[in-house]
Parts: sequence; structure tokens; C-alpha cells
Amino acid sequence: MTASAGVDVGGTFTDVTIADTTTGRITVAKVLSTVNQADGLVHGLREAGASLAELDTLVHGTTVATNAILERRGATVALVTTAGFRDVLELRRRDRPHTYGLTSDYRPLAPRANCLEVHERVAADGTVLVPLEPEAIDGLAERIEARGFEAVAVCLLNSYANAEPERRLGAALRERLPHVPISLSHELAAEAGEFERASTVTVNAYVQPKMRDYLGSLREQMREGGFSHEVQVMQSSGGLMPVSRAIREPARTALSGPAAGTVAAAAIAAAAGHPDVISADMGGTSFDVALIPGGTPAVSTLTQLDFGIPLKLPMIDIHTIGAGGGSIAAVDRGGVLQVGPRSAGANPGPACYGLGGEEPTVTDANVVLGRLPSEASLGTEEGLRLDLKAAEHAIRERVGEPLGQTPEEAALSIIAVANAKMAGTIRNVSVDAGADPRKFALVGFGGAGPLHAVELAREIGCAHVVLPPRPGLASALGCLVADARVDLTHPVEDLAERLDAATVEQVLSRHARRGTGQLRAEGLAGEELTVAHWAEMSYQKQLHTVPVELGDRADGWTEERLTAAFVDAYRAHYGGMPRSAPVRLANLRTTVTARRDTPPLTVPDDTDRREGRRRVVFTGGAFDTPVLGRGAIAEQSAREGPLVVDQSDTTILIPPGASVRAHPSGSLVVEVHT
Amino acid sequence: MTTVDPTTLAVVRGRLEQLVDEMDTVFERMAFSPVISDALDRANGVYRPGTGSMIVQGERGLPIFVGVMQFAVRAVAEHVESPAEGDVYLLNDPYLGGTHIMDVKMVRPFFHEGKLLCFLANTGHWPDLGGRVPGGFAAQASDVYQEGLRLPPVPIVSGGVLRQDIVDILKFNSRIPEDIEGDIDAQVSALRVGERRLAELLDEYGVGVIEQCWAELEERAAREMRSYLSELPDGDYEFVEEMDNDGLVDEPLEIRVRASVRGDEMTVDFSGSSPPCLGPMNSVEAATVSSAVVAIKHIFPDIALNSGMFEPLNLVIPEDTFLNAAVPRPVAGCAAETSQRIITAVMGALAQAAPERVPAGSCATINNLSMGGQDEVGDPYVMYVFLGGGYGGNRAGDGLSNGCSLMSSARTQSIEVTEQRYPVRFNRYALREGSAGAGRYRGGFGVDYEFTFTGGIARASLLGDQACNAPRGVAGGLPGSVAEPYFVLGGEKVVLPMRSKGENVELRHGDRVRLRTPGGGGWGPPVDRPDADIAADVCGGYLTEAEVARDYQGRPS
Repeated sequence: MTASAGVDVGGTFTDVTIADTTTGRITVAKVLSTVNQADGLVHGLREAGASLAELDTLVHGTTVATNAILERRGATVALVTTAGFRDVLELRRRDRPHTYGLTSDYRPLAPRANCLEVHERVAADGTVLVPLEPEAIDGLAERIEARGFEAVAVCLLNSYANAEPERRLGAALRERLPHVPISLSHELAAEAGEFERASTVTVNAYVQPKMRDYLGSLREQMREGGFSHEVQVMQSSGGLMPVSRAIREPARTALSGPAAGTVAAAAIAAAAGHPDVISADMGGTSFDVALIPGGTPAVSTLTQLDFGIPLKLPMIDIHTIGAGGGSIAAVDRGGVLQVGPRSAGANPGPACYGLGGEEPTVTDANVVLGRLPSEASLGTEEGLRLDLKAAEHAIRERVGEPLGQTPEEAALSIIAVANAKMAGTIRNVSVDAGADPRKFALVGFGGAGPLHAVELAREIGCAHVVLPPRPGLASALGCLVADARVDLTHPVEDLAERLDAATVEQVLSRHARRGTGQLRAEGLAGEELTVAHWAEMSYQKQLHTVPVELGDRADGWTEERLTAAFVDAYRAHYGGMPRSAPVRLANLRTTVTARRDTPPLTVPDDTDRREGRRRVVFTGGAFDTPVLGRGAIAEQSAREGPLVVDQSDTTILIPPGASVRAHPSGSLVVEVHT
Repeated sequence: MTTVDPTTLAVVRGRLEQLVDEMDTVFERMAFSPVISDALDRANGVYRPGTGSMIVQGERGLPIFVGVMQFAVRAVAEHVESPAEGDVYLLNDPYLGGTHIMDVKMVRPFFHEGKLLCFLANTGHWPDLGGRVPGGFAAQASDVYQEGLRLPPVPIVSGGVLRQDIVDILKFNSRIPEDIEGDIDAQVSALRVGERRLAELLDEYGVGVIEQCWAELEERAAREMRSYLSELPDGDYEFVEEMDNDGLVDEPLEIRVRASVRGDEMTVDFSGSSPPCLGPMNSVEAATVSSAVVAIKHIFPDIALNSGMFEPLNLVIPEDTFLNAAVPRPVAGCAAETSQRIITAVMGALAQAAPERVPAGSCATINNLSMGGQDEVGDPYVMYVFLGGGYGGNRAGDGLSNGCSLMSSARTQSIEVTEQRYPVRFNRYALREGSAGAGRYRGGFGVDYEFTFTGGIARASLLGDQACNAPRGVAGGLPGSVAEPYFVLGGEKVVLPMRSKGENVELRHGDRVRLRTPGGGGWGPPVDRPDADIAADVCGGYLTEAEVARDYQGRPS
């Protein structure tokens, strides 16, 4: 037997999925994460019954990089800039964290004293104004060595226009300091904008030593266990890359886990017959939304990791708001109910956890309404029990009494406000991309997603909801189905009328060659390589670009064809009328993907927990509601709501009026009936 | 009237907030002017008929428009005899609910079953509408007619059709006509999206419930504001901010504030402030009201953006002050400069009432530099630069370095893109060393910005302030530092006669512009700053040993 494994390591749990590569049959395990994530990962693989020697692929979603940044526990990094510009991270783009309120605790990843300057200068058109002298390089290398930096980031001004000095400096430093990882801005994000580029390269350097140690140790443990292949890591763009690349460019893993979840949502929904979907991942503290038109998650090229820390790399466009099971409900001074963005997190957690949380949360509301089973354990290893009385008490005290509502009414209010907020995010994400959410199906996953998904779909007018077989394991499943991927960008920043088809062709063919070459060198190029080109375009005066699909052809992109493709994309995006203004081409992008052969996956039924009935409160009133195991939902005939499906990793809520049936792919498909 | 149930109220409020957020997004995405798309100098909201009272406005909208939009909508309600379905009115008159000429408002009446239910409105900063200098920031204008084209409410869309004649008037009066149509398109589209969403909301809840929610939300916002005000101790708190000059007459302009807290109400009285001035630093009533309210929202950020927030406030802005100027006083400096100093004045007064809640003084000038001429190959260009500075230290921590304008959330353009587009080469863009006011929590750093002009010839204008009075310290903290803008012309350092303001400075190839912006004031006595924080500042490269010796009694050795 050969098998491939997908493992997502989160803050609390390590989720493991193993697929038999011939039958597609999957086994799963969920174990506690460990300090060295590699230990938990290997333990989880064994727990799922894997023999490491029989695995031929391991794909890994990791939060090591993200956590190092958010908790500011990365390396001591030197940032090297052109003389006069070392404060680039301190200055940002002149902003503040919130529109209202003037406080901030911003600290750049490299404090001022660690930002070193080198005497050199390139002009905006790429001309070298002040050459980089060998003495300058020597002096810099000595300073870096003497100060004992763990990693170095280099971002020279205008290196997007001429990377030669930056490349030369990088080569010299790599030679002089072989044990210090050196990150170069043009290698990661060759685009105009010194702050975003410096931030990206600094993030890379900041997480590099940690990622190198971690992935090194993982590789070793896997090898010792008999695994004879290269470990693959999930990128934020939704494609996988080998550990060797992940060690060099760890910034590409900043949204590794959520990206894997979105890839899974796309694959699972497509298998269930719904290629146009919106993924709605609701966990304990946050709600993540991504638009997936035609089975391909939308990609953005700039994300804020934190205030003052933008990352300019291709990433699945995931919008996050603070609305999860742990979001706190409170009545404000005007007497209006608010839910989130404050969260009780996992500790103390919702009041019903009985761990000292006193403020009511969305989870508490679900318990009070009978939507979550109060008498049963939450299905985690430690067997947490949900305390109905504690939930009721918190809701009565902090929401019910101030609003003059019974605990049940107040709980309904909390759910209504939380759902309205999440539905608003879905609407905004769709509008942002010029899409009508009513034409999409909603995929609900994450621990709390299936509990809210159908009501959310009703609010935004989606006709269908797809519920994956194991909604709590979506990110790990995504690791199983993701393809290997290389993203390339070339800044053009010129008017379409000033370009000719030959120039465009040159860039795109070079991209295709490089991407293909890289995947081959990494041993990832299977039988099928896909090349997809995009142009980011706008009217000359606009800042925000529209992605224009160019397909797989590099040639023939004359000004007329480019402009026509842009006008179509623009109209689809904004619904506005096209103008006669000149058209700008900002960047040319290419994605080269190596398809993995994944057999249709079959996920085992969850061990049915209990069947019975319980009282569940819906907006329309309380119902004596059947509680089923997932296996009780058949393919042949739909079951009408109200209905609750309890499984170990989630609870599914089918409100009255909706109906659900199983799909051969293993998902449940809900007819929302708005 | 039956009261609306609390669930519906909370949900409807959320939906209204989402609706205006969506309008903000559409506007900034489609706009042609970078000042809207990148600097986000725009706002969208929903307003009541008649009074123009704000029902909701986007949190991501520019703060200066918090109060301004109500005045603009009221102006349309009063000026337009019978607004019709499918009309959109455009106006920019500063005295009719405005700021400066460049802020162009659009107001769309919303009808439900034939009855005027509310107005949707937005505003965007257009890059040029004529006037004596490109971009409208004329530092030496002596009346509004020199600042650009002034428009009362005019129908830009009539019965759903764009009025090309009006568009042409606008285009004929702009130095950058090609931007105008793109911005109009974006602004009208945002209103259309808002209208669609509002119609959906009405379909779902019915007009009765929605109107009840509006009334209720207004009452709740007032209650919320009262609750915050009641936490301030009763008393009269006075503060005087001094602006450098008006650009024409070199005499300081005083903003006098007297904040009187009585229970859960507050009067903010600007009586005694300087009289209307000759140069463009006058503020109009709408902008002064906005600034005062934004100051309060900076202190209590959770207050909902709804007209109810004004109810417990009594703002006294006498017409004999430069804070309530009338036609034809020039007002180009009101939105960028004077408004910020009104904010620091009100915060200065309230810092006495509640020092633990109010940051020390912050940089409150954007050092607006506009420069135009021809580049190396003879193509005309106009370049704008605006800068940030240090915020004041506060009980939550040290002040932010290079914070944006207190009344905006606009970001600056990158150095690389600026060099790509204009004939300039930067020598430095750095923290301004030594600019942060010392304190238990020190101020943030100002900015040190210098470029060399690489084209043939250019004329530059500067409209800034705060070159004479540094951001103050609070609770024993030391002040930050004043702005220091200057030019290096033919190798000679040249400070403008009005220091922070001047027009038509002629630059030649190789001349330099240097702008050093204010650092924020410190909060609490420097002696209280823990040794570890001082050591971290020295190790981190933020303070020198000499500065520690001077400002922090030499600790730690």
C-alpha cells in the first residue's frame, strides 16, 4: 500500500488525514499539538495508523511562521537598506491602527538599531547612480558578523527596477556568512513600494531560523521513521512547495492552514457538484471567508499580517473577522447588543466551558438554544463538558437583563447579531470581487461553521450549503488535495498602448520556463503541468487593479486584445460602464501548477455518537428536534429540518424549512429554501 | 409608537454599517484620483430628510466628514425645491456644509413608495477644481474665489441620466479633467450600491421598523455619549492652541477652547478665538463642528457614528472667530491644518479633565507641499506630498511615529512610486532624531524627509503649520518638537518668510526640499520612565546617551 498524508498543525490540535493512494480511503486522527510541532505531527501520523515508510507524500500546513510574527518571537534580524532609508519599517505608509483613537503598540520586527545602511543608489528607471563598492560590502558583512544577527533581510531602494546591486550584495553576504540566512527583497516581491517590499523580506528573515530548525527537525524525524521523500509545505497561495523552498521562503507559509482549508472547501464542493462557492470557516475566535469562483480560490497579492506588517506575496484572498464561537456578547452603553470582536479565546473560553469565563459568547448562546448538546462532551481529547447553567447565567446577567429578554430570547439575539455580521462579511467579500453571493453555494466548515452555515446562507440568499464530511479537519484534507505551485510576478507599470505583444510574450514565456524548471528541479512536476497567466490592469489613473485572465498562451497579447480582455473583466467586476481612458498594465503574473493525482477521497463515517431528540430553539420557535448521526442522512431521500447532526468534530444544524441529503462524494448538501 | 425589539435593532444597525462600508469600498476601488483610492479621502453615509441628521456613516470614512455631511445634506434639503427620484445633487460650497473647495459632495434622495425617506450621500476629495494653484491649497489666497470653482447644489444626475453639461463645466474648470469623469463614475456608483442595499433592507423589515430603528439608534447614540461624558469630572477646562499665521499676515491665530462639563452634557465654546483671517486658515462651521466631535471620538472611540452623538453637546462657534468664517473668506487650510489644531485644542482641554484617557499633544500638520512644472522631457506634472508626525505618549504606551493626520486616515505614497512619477530623487526618509517629547510614555517621532529636484524648473507651494508651537506634554511630560520645513536653493538654506507657508518657490535642478515634522509630546514625568524602557530606547537606536542625560536625568548609566 502507498499512502499520502495531509497534516495541519494548529495552536491546539494537530489534524492528520491519510489517504490510501489507490483506493482513496482516508483515515484520520486528531491529537494535541506539541511545543516542537514535529513531535505531535509524527505522533499523529502513527496514531492514524501510518507507517512512515509506506507514505509517499506528506503535506503540511503550519502556523510556525504566523505565530512567530503575531507573538513577536522570531529571530534577531538585520535589515539592510540604501543609506537614508533605514527607518522604512518604522515609518510605514503614515497611518494608525484604528481610524478613531490615537494609541498604538506598534513595534517593527527589526528595531532601529538593527537596521543597517549601505552606501549605494539606483534610480527609479534602474540607472545606477551610486555604485555599490566592495569596501561597503566588506564593512557591512563585518558589522553583521560582529553583531551576531541570526538572519539578514536586504531591501535596497528601487531594486524592483534594477536588482543587480541587491543581488551582488546578497551573493557576497551569503559567501561571507554561510550560516546566516540572507533574504533578498527582489527574490520575494519584485514590485515597486519600498515599505511593502521591506516588510515582506523582513518577515521572511524574521521567521527563517525558526522555520529552518523546525522543518529540519521534522525532516529528520520523518527520515528516521523511514519516510524517504521530501516533505511538502502548504503555501498561503494554496499550492504546496518542498521543504527546501519553504526554508528559503518561509514568508510564503503565513496563511498556510487557512489556505489549506480553502483548497479543501473548493475541492470538496466541486466534488459535490458546486464549483462556485464561498468558503465560510468558523472557529473559536475568527470567521474566515474566501470567494471560490469556478473552483479556484481568488488570490490577492497584499495582506496585512498585523498593523504595520504587510506581506506582498500571492495568497488566497481570505477575509477574517473576529466572529467565532468564543466571540463575546455585550450590551453597549447605548443599550445595543454587540457581538465580538473581543473573544474569550480558548482560555477562559465561553462561560459554558466552566474554566472561569464569565462573559457570554456565541457558543454559550448555542448551548442555551439546545443547538449544541449541553450534556455531552465537546468531542475533544480532554473531554470538555458544556455547562448549560453557566451559559444561561452569563447570558441572563450580561445580555438578557439589560435588554429585558429571557435567556433564550437573548441567546437568539446573540446568534442573530453574529450571523448578521458574518453575512455582512460574505457580502463585502463578494462585492469586492464584483460577484453576486446569491449565485454561490456556501461551504460551512471549521468547528462552528456547520452550526451557522444554513442560517447564513438564508441571510445572503444562497440556495445551497455544502457540509464537508469532516468539517473540523478541512485544512488537513486540503493538504491532501493541493497541487504543487510556483507563483511568478513581473512588474510592468506601463500603459497598454506602450506595450507590444512581443514584450508581453517574453515575460510570460520566461515565467512559464522558470516555473516549470523549478517544479522539475524540485521533483514535483508530475505528468500534468498547468500554466496560467494573469495581467493586473486598471485604467491609467486607478490604483486598484482588476485581475485579467490571460489563459495559458504567452503570445498574441496585442494592445487591442489586452484592452478588450481588461474591459470585459472590468465590466464583470464593477458592473460599471467602460471608459475611453488609457489602460494600465501593472503586473504580469504566472502560476505554474503541477497537478497531483488524487483519487476521489472517501472519508469514513464518523462513529455515530447518539441518536435521539432534543429541544432546539430556532428563530421561529422551539422544536422537539431529531438528533441523528451523520450516517443516518441518505443519498436517496432528503431529510427535512429541523434536524441536528452531532459528530465528534462538529454539530450540524438544519433549521425548519431546509432539507439535507448526502452526496456520493461524502458531503451533505442542504437545500436552503429561502 | 411601539418600540423595536432589541434583536432587530442590533441587526439593523449592523446592516446599516455594512451598507456604508460597501459604499466606501466601491468608491475607493473605482476612483481615478489617488487621493481617494490610496489616501481614502472620502466618506459615505445615510441621512434623514429635512435636518440631514446622520443615521450612519462609514467608520472607514475620513473623520473630518463626521459632522460635515449633515450640513451638506441639509443644504440640499433646503436648496432643492423638490428633489426627485433618480436625481443626484453635487455641491462643494464650503459655507453650505463644506470644508474646502476640493471636497465634492454628492447627495441622492431615496424614495420609498413615492415618499422621500432619506438621503444617501458621499464626498470625495477631487484633485483639482481650478483656483490660483494646482490642487487648490493656495497658501496666500485672500478670498475663496482664488481657491477654485464654487458650486451650490446642482443636479449632476437628473432622472437617472448623467448631465453631461454639468460634467463639462467641471472638466473645463479643472487642470486634471481626465480624472473628473472617473471620479464621478465612482461616486455615483457608490450611491447606487447604497440605494440597492437600502432597498433590500426595507423589503426585509418594512419601512415602519426601519424608521423606528433610526429613531431608536439616534436615542441610543445620545445615551452612549452621555454615559461617556458623565465619566468626566464636572468643571471648566480651558486650552489655547496657537497656529503660526494665516499665510499672509505673520501673526499667530488663537484657538480658544472652553470645555464645560456638567453631568452628562458638555459645552465646547470657542469664544475668544482669533477673528476671521485674511489668509486661507479660516474654518467653516461644519468643519469646526466635525473637528470638535472627532476629538471626542479619539478619546472615546466606541461611540457610534450617528447624529445622536451630538445631542448632549453644545458647540459654541461665534461668527466673529476664524472658526466660523463666511463668504468670501479663504478656507483652503481648514480641512488639513486648522481642523487638526481644533482637535488638539479640544483634546488639550479634556486632558485636564481626564489625563489618563487623553494622549499628549500630537503632530497636527500635514506639511502639504505641492509642486508643479515640467519634467526632464518637458511633460507637465503636479506633485503633492503630505507627511505625518509623532503622536503623543499616552497611558497605553509611547506615541506612534509617523502617524497620519488626526482628521484623516490617508496613507502616503511610497518613495519608489513618487520617484517613478516625478522629477525628484530622495536623499532621506527617516525618523527625525531627537523629536520625541520625553515622558513616562514618550512621544512618537516626527519624520525627516528630503528630496532633490531633478527636473528643469518647478514652482513649489507649502501649506503647513506648527512651526512655532510644539505638541504639548501632558501630566508632566515634555513637549515634542516644532515643524522645520525649508528649501536649499542654489546651495543656500532658505526658510520661508511665513516659515510653514508659502507659494511659488522657484526650484531649479539640484535644489532641495527638506521637511522635518513634529514629534509628539510626552505623557507623565520623564523621571517616572522605567530604566528598562530607557535602556531599550538607547539599545534600539531611538535615543542617544546625550538625550538621556538631558531629558531623563542620565539614567541608566
